[in-house]
Amino acid sequence: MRRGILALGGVTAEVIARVASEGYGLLDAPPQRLNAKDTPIPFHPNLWAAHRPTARRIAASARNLLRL
Amino acid sequence: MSITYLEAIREAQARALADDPRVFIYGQDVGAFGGAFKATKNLAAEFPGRVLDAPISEDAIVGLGVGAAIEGMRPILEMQFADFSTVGFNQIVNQAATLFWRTNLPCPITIRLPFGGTKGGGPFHSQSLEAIYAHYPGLIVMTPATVEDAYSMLLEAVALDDPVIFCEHKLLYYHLKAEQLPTEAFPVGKARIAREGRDMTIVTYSAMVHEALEAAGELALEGWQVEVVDLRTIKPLDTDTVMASVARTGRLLCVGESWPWGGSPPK
Repeated sequence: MRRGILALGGVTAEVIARVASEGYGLLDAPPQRLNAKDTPIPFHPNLWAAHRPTARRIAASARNLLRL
Repeated sequence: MSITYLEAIREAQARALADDPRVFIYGQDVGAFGGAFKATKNLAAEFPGRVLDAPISEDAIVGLGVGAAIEGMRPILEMQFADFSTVGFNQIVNQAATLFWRTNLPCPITIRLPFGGTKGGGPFHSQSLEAIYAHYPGLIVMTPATVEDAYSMLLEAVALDDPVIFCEHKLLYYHLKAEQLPTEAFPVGKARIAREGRDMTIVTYSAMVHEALEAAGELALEGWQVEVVDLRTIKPLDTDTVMASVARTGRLLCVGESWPWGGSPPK
């Protein structure tokens, strides 16, 4: 079995793995993903707002992808 | 009349209890208190003896649920927060997930996980754990993003013979509203195109669907047409809908509220 399939954990990683392995030819740019930060979830509202994906961060990631 | 995401979850449980005598609810303070978020408000009075308070032991809650399922019941188990479901992790992933494969007996339990971040939730009341449960064969993992899906998918979860991890997002509980409860639903495991577009695809689920839709609205003002796919269930994962969308747009961005680590081979 391919190593990547066994090693997967995250949902976004799983989606990208499937599209990359089964639909590579469909892609015009490298697939991207956006998740929370890789730390415990902060208590303070300002830090929490910076920790999670938000509409603003999603739009920024999307603009980068559209330019690729 | 309007109904919130939280009320839809309460109504789905009321209907499940009314429709099927094998259904019961078990969890901490779900009885007279009505649950940590009031998702079982008044159900103990409406359905005497079928909405039961549990000790503060997620391990015992899921263990009892698995035992009841073996005896032919269809329990709905409430975790106060998804974060604490890890205390019952062994019962969920070793017992519930494997029961059918070991014994040929179905394990029709539904485990409700109030999950996801809210302001001031902090490290123990904010986690998104859908990926770790999806990792285990034998579990179905649902992540409804709308009031309609919260209602219809919870009813489907109770009706399914497999153990279901039902991830309900706390951020959607109060502000997300619908005019009425749905009368029909998409099948389990089918994703939904939440917004159509031709320039790129955003694949996401649960509360992030609403963030993605807001981002798509912002990008539309700049002339980009962004398609948003709501996965609805993480497992099974509707690869066909994702692939068809990417075939139309050629560009893919996946967004999730959970932690990033996933051993992604394309990296």
